[in-house]
Amino acid sequence: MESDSSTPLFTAGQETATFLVSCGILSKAWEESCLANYSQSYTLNEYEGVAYVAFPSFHKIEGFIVQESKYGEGNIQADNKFFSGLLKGNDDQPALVHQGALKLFLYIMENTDFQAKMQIYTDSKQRKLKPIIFVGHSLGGAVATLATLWVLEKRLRQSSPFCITFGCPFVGDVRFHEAVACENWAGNFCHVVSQHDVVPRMLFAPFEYIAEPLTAILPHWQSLMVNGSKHEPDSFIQDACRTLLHNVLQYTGTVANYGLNSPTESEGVIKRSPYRPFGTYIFCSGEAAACIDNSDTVLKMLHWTLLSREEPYDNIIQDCFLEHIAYGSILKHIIEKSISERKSAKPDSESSYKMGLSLQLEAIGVGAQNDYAQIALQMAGYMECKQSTNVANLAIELSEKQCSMAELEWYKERCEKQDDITYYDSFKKHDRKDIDANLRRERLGRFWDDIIEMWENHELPSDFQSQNKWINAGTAYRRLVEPLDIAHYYHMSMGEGNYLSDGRSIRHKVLQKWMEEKEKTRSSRGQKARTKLASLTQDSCFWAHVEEALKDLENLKQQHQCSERLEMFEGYVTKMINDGNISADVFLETSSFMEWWNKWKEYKQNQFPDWSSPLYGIMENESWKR
Amino acid sequence: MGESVSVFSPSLLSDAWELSSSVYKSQYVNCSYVRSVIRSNLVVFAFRGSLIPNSATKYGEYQVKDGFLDGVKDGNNQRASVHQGALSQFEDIWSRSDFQKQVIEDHEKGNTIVFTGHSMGGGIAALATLRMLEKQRQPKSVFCITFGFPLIGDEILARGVRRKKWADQFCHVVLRRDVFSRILLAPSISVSKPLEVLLPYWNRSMQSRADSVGSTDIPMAEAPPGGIAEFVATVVQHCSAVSNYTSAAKMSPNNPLIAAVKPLVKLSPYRPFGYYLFCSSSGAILIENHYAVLPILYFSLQTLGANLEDFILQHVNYGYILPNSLQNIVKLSELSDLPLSDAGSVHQDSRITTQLDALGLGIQNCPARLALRAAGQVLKQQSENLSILEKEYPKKMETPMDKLEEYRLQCLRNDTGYFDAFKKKQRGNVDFQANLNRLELAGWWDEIIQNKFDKDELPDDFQCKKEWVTRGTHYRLLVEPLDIANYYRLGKNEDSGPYLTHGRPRRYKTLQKWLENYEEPLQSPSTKLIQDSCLWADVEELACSMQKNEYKDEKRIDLENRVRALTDSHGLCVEDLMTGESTFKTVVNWLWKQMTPVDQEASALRSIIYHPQQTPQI
Repeated sequence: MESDSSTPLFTAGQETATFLVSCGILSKAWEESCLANYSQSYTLNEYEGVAYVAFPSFHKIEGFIVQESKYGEGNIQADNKFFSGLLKGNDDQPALVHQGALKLFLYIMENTDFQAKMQIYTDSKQRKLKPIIFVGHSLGGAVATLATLWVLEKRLRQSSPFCITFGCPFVGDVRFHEAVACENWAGNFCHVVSQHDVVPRMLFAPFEYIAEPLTAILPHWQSLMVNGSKHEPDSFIQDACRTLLHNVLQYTGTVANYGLNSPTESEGVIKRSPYRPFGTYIFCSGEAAACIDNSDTVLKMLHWTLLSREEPYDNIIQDCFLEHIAYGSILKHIIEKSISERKSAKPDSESSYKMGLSLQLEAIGVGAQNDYAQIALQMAGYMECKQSTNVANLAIELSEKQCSMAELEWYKERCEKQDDITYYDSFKKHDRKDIDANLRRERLGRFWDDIIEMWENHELPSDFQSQNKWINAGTAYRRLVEPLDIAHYYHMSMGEGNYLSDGRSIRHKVLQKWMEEKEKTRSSRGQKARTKLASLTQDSCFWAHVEEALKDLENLKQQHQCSERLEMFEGYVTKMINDGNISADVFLETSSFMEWWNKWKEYKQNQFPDWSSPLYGIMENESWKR
Repeated sequence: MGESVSVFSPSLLSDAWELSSSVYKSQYVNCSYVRSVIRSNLVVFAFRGSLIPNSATKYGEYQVKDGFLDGVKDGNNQRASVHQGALSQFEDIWSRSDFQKQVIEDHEKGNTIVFTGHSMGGGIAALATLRMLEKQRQPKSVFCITFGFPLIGDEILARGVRRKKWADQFCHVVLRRDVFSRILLAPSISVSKPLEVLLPYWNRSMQSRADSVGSTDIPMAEAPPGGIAEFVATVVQHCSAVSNYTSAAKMSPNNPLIAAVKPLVKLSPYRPFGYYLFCSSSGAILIENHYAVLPILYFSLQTLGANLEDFILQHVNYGYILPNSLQNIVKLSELSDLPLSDAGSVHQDSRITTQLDALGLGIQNCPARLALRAAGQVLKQQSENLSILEKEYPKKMETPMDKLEEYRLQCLRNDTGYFDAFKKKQRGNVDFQANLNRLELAGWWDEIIQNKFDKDELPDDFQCKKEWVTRGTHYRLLVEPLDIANYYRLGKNEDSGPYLTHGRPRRYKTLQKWLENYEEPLQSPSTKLIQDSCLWADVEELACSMQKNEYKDEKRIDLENRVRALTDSHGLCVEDLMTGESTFKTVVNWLWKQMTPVDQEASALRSIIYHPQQTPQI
């Protein structure tokens, strides 16, 4: 039998990277990045039906050096309207990006014909669109990242943009990473990083520690890239490199060993770098390449790959300088290796998974002996495997739960057709005939509670809450069953307490939030007005509002409060009826809602004999029937 | 090794090679094929072909048109693509009446026919074989043996061959370093320049060798052209791209990066079909697992420690190497447990170890071993999934199916069709139980189709297995009417549109396609059901028109056509349609009143209205 269903059988990091290198897309992207260095803003070339948009590596260097915050981070929406408020973390706080990268991107958006040129590739009215790949090296990679995100936010159905960067510094923080993961956009970003290239690691360090050496080295790289001159870096540059590497290394180690969110971190002692990798990283060594996409693992590998060799420090200094601009020859070398044959250490395991991990570690230059790195990869693989097993099991359970849903639908139908009572009001009585429904209600509640708990423990894929299947299932559940939860609450509390503020369970709140978030991303165009009333009231809290309104009305009669909240409730109901978002059972003679309406009408008419209101018109004419 | 190669015995393979190489003789320069009766009842045709440069598409691929491979399509009815150069040469030969006549005559006499060819001749042989296979119904009597065969068909063709169980009728013999057998994995343009020199060189070599057979003076071997390093590297690089792509996709099926990159790079569309015999000078390995072929084509071509000239020479050296390698054929199966280490290799058949080493697939080539294991794992998983389904079916599905059958009969006893019973507003416990059974079955079939079948997690021929086509068809015919009833009962047609265009679940579309592609007759189920599960959808749409009083001839004709097709094929169940106050009866009566007497006379509905079991309604 299988040893453990949560251990993957294979890992494809090495195969995926070799595919990407062999198929030529990376070499082509590098070629385009290099050409962009002769441009002032960006270049656009079509090749085999794909548009390559490239940004220069070291354009407007002075714009990249920002001093406002410790690590140069700031709100992604700062000074612009190109990014939406949906780019936020799981805690609802906005994503942060490096402000230098953002400035470079905004410069191109606002001062060039870039937006106009992108029009034909992003016109949502076209039936087909040519795919775009945004590419960039170094700082240009950061710009390409933001450009890709800008197009991704257009949510084109025809195609989605792809991004390839080389030696790109960090761009976004943990919330940026979460936003990308939640939208399932991580697969659209591919970051090529050479083993010793210092730039992808430099933002581990506070900006003040890197700004000075960086200002010295960047122009030097620029002249090497553009003029192709081969002259050795002078001692001034070498010193700058030494300082840069020294300062960066001080920080990478801490992060790799403790992680960014380690509980040992105490506020105020040292504020760690806010940046987080996202998307897939292709780590390249002299031997081969491998892909890693788990953010935490990438973070650690950025440290271990840099420090793997027992070589003189001076060599590393030289490599961290040279490799940043040598991606062309690095790719070429990896292709040559895949053509001849990779030599690997003598295999000693019969597990495909373990061997795959060893190959990956060798490919990225860490070496298979590095136990920490091996464990980090294993953890990531275990997590991913567990998540997909979980979601597959939940899918099977969900289809079994359809029977409970059908039972409750039938319960609702019987209440209405046989007993002329809404299922809400019937359930509130807790009669013998409602026992079955209560069992189903509890069973479904447990099912969704478990899902929410798994999701909060990161045991489900990060895009789980934006998958249509689960949003639709959750919404259907909430609309059918929450009224019963409300009925249960008011039955048990004997009229004391407010469901909305005290009684609503987390599962309903979370499921509603998922649905609302998703609706923000859907274009409102396709939605047509309802011709009939909805079969289920769209606001699953409707009955709680009714209960509160009944209480408010009692209080009002005893002069304990003013009628403002009741007027609001009337407005809320009117709008729901007009939009067709209420279901017809609400209007059954015996329903709690009708009880409220009759009392409210009586109260109002006592006060003002010729009282009228939009709802009055609707109810008197029964025009809700349409 | 008689046990490993059943039809393709070493002696047949040698005979095929002899004939394949003989077509290069100067005396045959004007013939494109040679026929030979090897033994009684065994006729071999060998072809000569050439790689025709073609720049219309990146890899020279061409989608076949009606009349060839009609039964080979994918789920979206896309037709297969094959290499255009091979196809045009084949069609040239096929359309010459003497060839076609000869083949058909030989075949009708009950001979076993083998098509063979070297190089592009192998491509023509493969197409000729496919052509005969799609015509023949009797047990396997047409076979194909190729030498140095370049892949010429795409994924759709490869899948079609597996579904139709033709794979064991093809044997592609490939030498480890024969670069030509991988050449179509590289874009035409990337190799066109060196081929201008190489193709004539290969041709000359084959010709001089063929002409010297039987004569005592062995010709001076011509040295291969220079400057081949870059050419070889190009081909290996593209092999690497295709092989690593397929391996990565198998090892990590849901990888979003691979999915995103796929449409951006145009890889070679060609995929292997049939069995492969990979040869080195010391022996040969027979591979039946098609997933393993691409990795072997790549890893065995890697250049480390090789003499570059070998890559060119091996394409014409089959005659020298085969006699040895055919002596020692081993079959490689159980790839999922292929050893990775020395310790694991202890338990392996030493002949297999030797042969893998000879092909550069030894344990030191760890990526190769992992790719082969992944190839084995896919097939293993597929058959495990199938046996799970086989076990689950009686437990989970038979009861709800039986209950729904019973529901249908019970409804009839109560003088109503089960469609109308299910649709009615006031549902009782019985209808509700039927609804639960419907949901249970829907969940199960969705799981099979969306989570297993669509993701290639079941054997390729799953959709051609008689019991599954039968089960799927029975389910569709019995239960889809209930889905239609439910759809119109809830008024979903108002929100979304007609059932057929906007509401039909994919499980039914897929199941219907399985039946349409199934070529043999199915055993009929115990109860007679309406053989068109969508009939009710048309009826419901007409019922909607009836309510709005919008009579349209076209809609009526649509229904009549459906009914006529059913009547002609005896697929109609009148009691389901006409029992009690059925929707169908109401709709037909309404239609009848709108029709002219002429229309009525010709109408397919007539036979139902005046059905012997029914009293005329009008």
